[in-house]
Amino acid sequence: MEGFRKSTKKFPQLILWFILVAFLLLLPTFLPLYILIHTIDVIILILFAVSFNLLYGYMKEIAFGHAGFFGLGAYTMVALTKYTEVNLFIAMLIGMLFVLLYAVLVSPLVTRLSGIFFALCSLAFGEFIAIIVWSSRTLGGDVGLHFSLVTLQEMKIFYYITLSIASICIIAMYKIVNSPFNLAIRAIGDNVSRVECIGIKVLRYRMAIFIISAAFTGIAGLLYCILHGIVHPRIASWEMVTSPLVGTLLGGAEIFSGPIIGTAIYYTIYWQVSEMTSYWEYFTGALIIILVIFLPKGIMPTFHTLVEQKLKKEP
Amino acid sequence: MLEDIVIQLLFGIARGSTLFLVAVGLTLIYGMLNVINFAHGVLFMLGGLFSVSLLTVLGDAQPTLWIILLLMAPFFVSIVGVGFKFWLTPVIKGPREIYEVKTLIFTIGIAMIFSALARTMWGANVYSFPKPSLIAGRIDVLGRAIPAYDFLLFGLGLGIGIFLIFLFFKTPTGVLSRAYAFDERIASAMGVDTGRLSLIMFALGSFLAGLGGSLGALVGTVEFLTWKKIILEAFIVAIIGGLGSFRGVLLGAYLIGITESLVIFFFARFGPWISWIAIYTVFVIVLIFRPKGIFGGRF
Repeated sequence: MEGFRKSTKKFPQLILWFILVAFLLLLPTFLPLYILIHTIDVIILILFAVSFNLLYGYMKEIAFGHAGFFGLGAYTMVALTKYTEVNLFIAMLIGMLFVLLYAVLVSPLVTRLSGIFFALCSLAFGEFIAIIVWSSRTLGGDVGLHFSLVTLQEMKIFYYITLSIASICIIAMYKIVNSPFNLAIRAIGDNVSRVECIGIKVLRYRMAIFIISAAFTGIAGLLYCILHGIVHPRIASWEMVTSPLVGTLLGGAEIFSGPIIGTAIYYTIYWQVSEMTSYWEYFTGALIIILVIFLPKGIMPTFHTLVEQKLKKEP
Repeated sequence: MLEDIVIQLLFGIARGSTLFLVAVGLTLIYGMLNVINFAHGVLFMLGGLFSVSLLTVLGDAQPTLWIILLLMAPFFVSIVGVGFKFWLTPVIKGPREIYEVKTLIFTIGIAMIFSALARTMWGANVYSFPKPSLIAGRIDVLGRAIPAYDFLLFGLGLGIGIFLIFLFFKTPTGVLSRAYAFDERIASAMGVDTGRLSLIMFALGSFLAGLGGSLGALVGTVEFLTWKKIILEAFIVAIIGGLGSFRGVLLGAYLIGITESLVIFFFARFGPWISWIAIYTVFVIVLIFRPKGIFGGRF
């Protein structure tokens, strides 16, 4: 990593970033509408995957129940706009408040545990949201709630809104990842007992990162349900987590760009497969198995080591 | 009033028996191999679907046929379960903290493939079949009619529980497998055939899950989505009892089953979700006081 960063000069990197930003800003002008909708979808899922990776990549815990937070904010927002005369913006804020509240309630129970216990308990608490919305008739039950906030004509504006919100969130998470706070989190992920001996309050850090990750997931959920115009119990159940999970596995968990690249690739293939056949679960399942056995580190770390080796050889 | 509570307790024990049949395999496999098998719910679903297919092949429902059916469908399921064991072998290596999580992800992949496979083979239909005359009737208890099926479940759950207690605490195989669950390295150093034991546990666990599945299909319905509902309850039961603990799963299953049926009886007017609130209340209370389950770490 370090060698790669030093050897490339600042200037070409700046140009690359400029091209990327210009490309993203100009995208709606030449893309057909239905591809644009998929692009918005993938941006939202990237936001989800990056916030999932805050826990998976740095604390080495799988937060299976994150779909609960994803769905909770969305359901709160939709229910408020549907049944009361609340402004959309305020409804989003209240939705986020609910997500934070639930995360604060759940985090002391879940973050005490680690490994498989963490995964299963967070799964249970996430599924709780899915079950409640599934069995409640006012919240649409099995069918879900339909509503329309964004018409097809407004998709371009929504693209810019999503892009700006997602990039602000991702930059914020990048800052968190490169802060001393995250160094402590990484240390906890590597060796808990040693960190405890140094005198860091492990539980406090774990709770903090859990709540931060849940909050960003909630934002992704809000955007997701505005885009699709429907909330359904499935977006709160663990099936929703397969997308960030596979994206993170594919891209590589221990690196910030991993889930971004991985989710983009996974979504593109998944979209093609699901247009061809409704049995996309074969594909996702097989991909998970292949990744776990043959590519446990993911694409990006492998790529980085390759680049480093090449740079070392050159001079 | 008192009769009602007694009858609800009976229903709760019958419900707990189904949960026990599913969760015991999950927890046994965790105790041996430190693997949480997310695809365990798939085995439950396959138990139901296999008995649907067997019934169409074998023809009409006769009492003897049902007994064959209830043995054959779980037998096929246990073959699939043993297959899982072999697929898991390449993933189980390295330090335990790493492969635990890795195998969980791996078994999610397996579960998704089998879910799609079930949809391919059986379609997106909801199956239910006629109950055999042997258990279709009702039995009067305290002036109320109770489905004979619940007594079947009650008896089977109790019988299997006693059988497993006998197996684990009295037979050589059981003692060896407890030793294996306690410390794998020392057990294998002492000459315990760990490969054979884990194979037996996988076969036993998936047989019981398949049995639970075909019994569940008898009373209710079965479809390719069944596993998603059952796996969550099985996880909750296993966590409450303590993962890897046999006593724990026995306690957890009946605790959850009885709580559920009593809460439904008293608070039915609030809607079906009230039973889930009760389950989660128990779950949270256990997590607060015993984060690793009631019998966590003890067989």
